[in-house]
Amino acid sequence: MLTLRLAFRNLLRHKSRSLLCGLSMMGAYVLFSISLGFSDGSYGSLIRMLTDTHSGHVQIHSQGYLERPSLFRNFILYPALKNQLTADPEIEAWSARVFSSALIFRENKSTIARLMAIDPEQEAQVTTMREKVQDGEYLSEAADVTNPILLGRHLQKLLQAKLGETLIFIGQGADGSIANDLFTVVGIVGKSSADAESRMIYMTLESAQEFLSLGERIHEVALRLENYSEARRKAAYLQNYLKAKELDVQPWQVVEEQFYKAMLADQQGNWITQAIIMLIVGLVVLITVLMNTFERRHEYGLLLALGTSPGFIFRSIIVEMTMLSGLSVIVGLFFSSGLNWYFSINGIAIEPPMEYGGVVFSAISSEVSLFVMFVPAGFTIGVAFLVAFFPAIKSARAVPIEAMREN
Amino acid sequence: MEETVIVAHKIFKAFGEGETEIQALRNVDLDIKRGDFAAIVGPSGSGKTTLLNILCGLDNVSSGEIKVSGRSLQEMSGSELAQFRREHIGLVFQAYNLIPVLTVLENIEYVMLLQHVPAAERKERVHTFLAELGLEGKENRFPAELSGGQQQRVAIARAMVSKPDIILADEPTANLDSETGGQLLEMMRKFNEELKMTFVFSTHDPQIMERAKRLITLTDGRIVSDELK
Repeated sequence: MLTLRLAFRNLLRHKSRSLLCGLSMMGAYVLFSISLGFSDGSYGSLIRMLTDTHSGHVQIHSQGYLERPSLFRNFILYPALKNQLTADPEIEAWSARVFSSALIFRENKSTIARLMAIDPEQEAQVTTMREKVQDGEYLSEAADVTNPILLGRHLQKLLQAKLGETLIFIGQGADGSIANDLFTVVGIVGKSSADAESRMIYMTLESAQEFLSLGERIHEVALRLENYSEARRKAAYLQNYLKAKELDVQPWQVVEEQFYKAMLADQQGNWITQAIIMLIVGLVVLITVLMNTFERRHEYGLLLALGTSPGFIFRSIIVEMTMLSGLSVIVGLFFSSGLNWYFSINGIAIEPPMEYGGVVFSAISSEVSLFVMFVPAGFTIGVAFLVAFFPAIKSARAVPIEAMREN
Repeated sequence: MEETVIVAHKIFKAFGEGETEIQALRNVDLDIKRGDFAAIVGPSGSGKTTLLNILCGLDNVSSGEIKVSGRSLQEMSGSELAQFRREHIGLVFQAYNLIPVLTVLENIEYVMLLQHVPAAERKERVHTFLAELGLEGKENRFPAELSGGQQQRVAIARAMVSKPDIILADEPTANLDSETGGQLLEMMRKFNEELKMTFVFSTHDPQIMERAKRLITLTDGRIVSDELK
């Protein structure tokens, strides 16, 4: 109590100095928090965008498929696994997929295209597949059409194909045969040729399994969880469950490794910026603490002469700076939370949109979370504590008579 | 027989080294008994303040031994000395040396707070001293709001309120007018007689010399006379 009283009164003793130091700490806290908010908010949006548009949060493959995808690395989605995925409350939805390539012919035009086969209804619950259709209709809405496909914008331009037209597909069947069949264009996906889906052809799971002679076999199951941050834990849990089945369960961080690594490298760059902010705060606090302790040398000598323990003097200096940094953080919390909240709703548009790890990014937005509020708070108070530590030790170890001679 | 509270034996204190060495105290032997009201007198530079600082462990000796309340000061660390002063010694300084951010009341009870004296007892003792020293009504003022005489009263109250074995006062009246100084001396003399508190002053002040029961004269770092009045 006495320590707190002394610390508080000493803070009020040089109001301008305490205010200046407090404002510096508050400014640094707000900058740190907003920078972290934007970092988390933007990466969060990117991750959601990436997982929503394509990968899902967790994927299940046959062993080795992720490293070397192949028509022959497939597996049967047996009923027990289906039931397990459907019953798991943490899994919002799941979708089975088949991948392959084929030669596509339309009259005298031809090209090679990548095929992705999906269950239209299940896929629409895992990703934004339905929203990708720019012209025509989604696969599930063309129930009366035999072998319906969604054609990527780029391929449509290349083949000069129109909705309702039939294309010839030739590929390799899983049984070694030559796969060939006719498919009808029911929709066009992708806004421009630059979009990732513009070079893809989407078809139903049944028609792909028949075309590729896969039977009931598939290549991938994509899962959508309640929260993408739980992906690693959930993947590990499922992997443990599926180990005996020779299946490989991986979170989005592994599935989209290139994107994830780019994101981590970018985050490290942000931490350097934040460290520089903290360094500046540290210098301001150091100057304030040094001025205070230098000016009060006589007083510390007096306190020691009266029988105050060195530990008490150390504590009073640390408490004073911790109190100032704590107050700065509390005030800063209001500003930073307000700003982060505003930018989480409104965001800042990027013109023109930029591509990051294969994801097109048109705005950056902030995020309000405990992490964004309390990590900068911990750093700000921690820096104040660390910087005050050595002057506090020096003052506590002063020789009373020498300190009292100073004024 | 009176109990001896301070025993100083062959105290030698030098500042600097070689040609710049100044010998402040030279083989000083001194005993202070419980209930003494002693004044250490002598010209400026005779070593009075140095001796007082050494007697309370604020300064080290170059050689010799000091025991206060039976304990050797040389054997104590910085924190042990701080604790020892807190428990056994009250200090009064020439420049008052109150803690500027604490009120009169808080300054007086400061040492008791360090001693963890219960709040009720602290309050009772502080109010007794406030009344004795004529400081009633000024409990919540800060030192800067007091006159020199009032500040020194607070300093005396702070030194005495924790009931130490001995009070060491370094020229306590030097910054006060003679009337205020005289009043404070009377008060200290009263406490000495009524409560048997031990006082040792370093001083030039004739008023203190007049009222002291014992006069110790220092010249060039040596005790040249020690007389009981």
